[in-house]
Amino acid sequence: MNPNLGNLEETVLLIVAVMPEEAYGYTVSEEYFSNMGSRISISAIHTVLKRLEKKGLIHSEMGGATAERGGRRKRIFKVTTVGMKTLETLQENRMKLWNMMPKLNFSY
Amino acid sequence: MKSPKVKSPPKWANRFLEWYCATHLVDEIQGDLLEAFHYRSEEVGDTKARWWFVWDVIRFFKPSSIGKRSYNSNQIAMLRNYLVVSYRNFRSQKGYGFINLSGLIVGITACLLITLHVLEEITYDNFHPKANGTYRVVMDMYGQGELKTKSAPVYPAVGPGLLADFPEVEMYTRILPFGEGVYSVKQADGSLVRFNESKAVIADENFFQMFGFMLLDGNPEKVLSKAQQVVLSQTAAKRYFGNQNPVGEIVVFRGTEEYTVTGVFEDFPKNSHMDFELITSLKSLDGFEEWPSNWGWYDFYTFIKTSDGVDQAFLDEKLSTYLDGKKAEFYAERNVREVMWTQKIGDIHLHSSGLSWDMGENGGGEQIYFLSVIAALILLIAWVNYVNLATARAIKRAKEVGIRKVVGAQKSNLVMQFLVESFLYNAMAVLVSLLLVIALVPVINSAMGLGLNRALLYGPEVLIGLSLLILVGALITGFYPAMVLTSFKPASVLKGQVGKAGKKIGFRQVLVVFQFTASITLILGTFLVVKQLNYMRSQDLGLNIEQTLVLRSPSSSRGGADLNQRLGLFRSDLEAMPEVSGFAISGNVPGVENFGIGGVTSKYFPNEFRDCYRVSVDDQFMELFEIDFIAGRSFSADMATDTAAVVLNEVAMKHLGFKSAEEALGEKINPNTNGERTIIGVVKSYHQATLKEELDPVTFLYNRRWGGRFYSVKLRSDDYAGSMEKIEASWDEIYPDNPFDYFFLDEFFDRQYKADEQFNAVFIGFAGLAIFVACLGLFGLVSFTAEQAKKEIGIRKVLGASANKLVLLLARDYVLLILAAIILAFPLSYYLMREWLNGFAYQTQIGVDIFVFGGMVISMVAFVTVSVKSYHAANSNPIKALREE
Repeated sequence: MNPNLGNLEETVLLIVAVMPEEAYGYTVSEEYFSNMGSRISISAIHTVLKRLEKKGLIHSEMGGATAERGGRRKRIFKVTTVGMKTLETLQENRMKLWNMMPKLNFSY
Repeated sequence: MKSPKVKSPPKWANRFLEWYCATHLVDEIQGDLLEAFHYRSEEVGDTKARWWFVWDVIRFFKPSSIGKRSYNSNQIAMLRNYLVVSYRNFRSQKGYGFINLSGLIVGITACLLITLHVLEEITYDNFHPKANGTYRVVMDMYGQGELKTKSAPVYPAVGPGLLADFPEVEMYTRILPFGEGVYSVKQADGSLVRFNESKAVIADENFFQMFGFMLLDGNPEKVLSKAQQVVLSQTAAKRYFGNQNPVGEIVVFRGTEEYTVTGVFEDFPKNSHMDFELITSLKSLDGFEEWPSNWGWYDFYTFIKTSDGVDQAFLDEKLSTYLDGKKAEFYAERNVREVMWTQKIGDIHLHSSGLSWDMGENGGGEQIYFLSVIAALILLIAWVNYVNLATARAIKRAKEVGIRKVVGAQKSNLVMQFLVESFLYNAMAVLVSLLLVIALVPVINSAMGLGLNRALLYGPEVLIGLSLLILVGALITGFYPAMVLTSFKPASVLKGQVGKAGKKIGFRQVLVVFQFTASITLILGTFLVVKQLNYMRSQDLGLNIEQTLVLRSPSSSRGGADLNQRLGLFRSDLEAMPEVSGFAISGNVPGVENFGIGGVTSKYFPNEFRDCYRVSVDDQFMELFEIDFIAGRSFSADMATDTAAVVLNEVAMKHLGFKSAEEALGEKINPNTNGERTIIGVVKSYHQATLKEELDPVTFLYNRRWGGRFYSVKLRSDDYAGSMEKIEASWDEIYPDNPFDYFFLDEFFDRQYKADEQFNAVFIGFAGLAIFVACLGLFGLVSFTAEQAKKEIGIRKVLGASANKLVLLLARDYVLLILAAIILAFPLSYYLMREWLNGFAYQTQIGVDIFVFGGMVISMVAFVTVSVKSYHAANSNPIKALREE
């Protein structure tokens, strides 16, 4: 398992994991925009997806073609079990840290 | 049913994507982008989505998405290697690289500068609406079957006539150049703002619809539609009204006519052959209603606009006989004919030489031609330089080529390599030249009084031209060296058998000869241009124009009698001044084109009208200008009969058939007509204009000291400032309503040579550049010869040869080349010089001196170039050359 996951990589991984419909370049970029409120280019999304795939966190297969795509097929990404585990570990670690956060005390 | 319009991203971007994108990635990348475009175009609109798409395509253009091309990646690697090797070569031989590059830069810069000028000249008047269908109608005037005059203006009836008779003529505009004179505006405090205007004309009401001049204020259809209307240029408006709005104000013309300002136009652009500041409506003139039937008064510049697709040749064909139908009787009676033809408005500036009474400074097509030739020559010389040096250096690089061949380079690879290299040089040179031109233009403009416009460089044509220049340059300069280099046999190269002295260098020699032939031609041309200008200036004009102050006569007054009375006062005032030695009134002075022309008969030509110019002069004119009489006398104030007398110049005397001046005396011109006048004197012809022009026949008529456009004042003292002050004071007292407008005649006359001087400066400058570039090439060549013969020189030195002998040894080959160039250049330049001189009426002798000087200069320059380098080689330590093997 590769523990080195950048911020953007983590976000994109999460997005792929939670997306109800097919996750591929364009939809991921739109999802990123609607959730994060800022845009990154499709080219950047592609790079991140490729990197995640290399790390074994997601895997891809070619999907169907549509008219909007000019007859081009999609490369659809799914989170692998390793990916899912990585996300869970990350979340757990993070929660641990959050729990250690001193509670705000309004009483003094 | 029509399907809804399918929106699509920019085709070129899509194609670009398909081109670079790896095949295994194209599905996802292009698919995603097209899909994104599809939804975005609905979301943010088509245009934005398209830009977005382009941006994304550019973002994807990175190594990870670029696929393998159809050629193998080895080729990219090789291309990279070529670049690296070119760069290393440049660095390792800076001197050579520098010479080569600077030669190209100088050549291309010169070429660009000239192109800029040429572009400016050939884009004259291209801003008019439908400039291609806008013509000026001009005419050739024949008498007794020979061409007498080519006239730019025609009759006032021509415009309306053509509109009525030719269906293809859509509109016409006439311009009458008679607005000259004093214009004044009364200020609130009663004082007068007054200026003598020479750029003032009278024009038809559709002037601003015919031409592309911009009205800033006023309705283009109405500003000249009524009598007594005037439109001012921005500059003129400022002159009279400051920052006030001039529209609706009154301007007074010549003290009597009141014109209302109806509009203000932007100053005419520089590339317009017309240059007006005040335009008055044609209807302000008396009798304009009768002009549509006036076929006698030819002072109207007439422009027509035709409907689309009308051929100029067809138009000229129809025009050529048009006047026959209108003036048949007149033609038959006088045995004359007039043939009209058209000039495209864009052609007027360059192709009007030979037309009389033209507007503005036109003509100069030949100069453009000569300059273009020079530009092409310089560029060729620079390219030849590159070829020469690259070939010479080939020997040095033979080993590199040999190795490349041994490890498997194909001939095409090697050719490619050297083409890439020359491409780099050319691209670099063009870029640097472009920057140089941008930096140099203001300097050149102020130094030579030119008006080069940098903005022309930024047009798409120039950019395309420059790209072509780089490509063509790369091909021309890269091809031959590539061929030479690739022809080496690797085995012999690696054994060191290439480049030994005495081997074939034929083509290179031819190139050197070509370079120097061109340079010598330019040098000789320079000498001739200077000689011709000096010749024209030093020639006796036939009269004395020194220390002569010329005043433009007042035109603002309360009428003729008033003017005459004031002139009497002014004249006696001036004649009383000790500084003034003479005062003359005349209709024209030397240096101003004669306007009045008319047919004259004599006893030898009783039925034939011989064209002569008319100049009215007073009794002082001939004396003041020291014009020599061949026979007879000048006009006299004491002879009442002199109003019916005439003085001819020598040319007019012969023109009218008289054998000698003595014979002409007492004879009549226009015998038995109203215009009959007795010849009382014949003067030597003097030059009215520069020596470019022939002498014209002139008849001098007596003007009894009134009217006249010019007052000439001969000054006795050298204290110009003091005399001027006194004269101006007297003028202001007598003519408070007229501006004091003057010039010194000698300076004024000399101004006519300004264009020639500029041409001189330009010519000399570029000839210098050409020679410089050629010498650079020569220098580079000699360097390589010396380098090659290093060992030979060393051995000779060791064996006791003197440095002088060695210099001679090295220079000998080049001496022969230069000689060959001289022999070729002399006849060529003689021919070109004759051509150029034909544009002048008075031509200097081409003379042996030019050839001798030119030959000497080029020999000196070449010899110095060669010997500097070979002297260096001959004096270097032979041990250094011989030590290593």
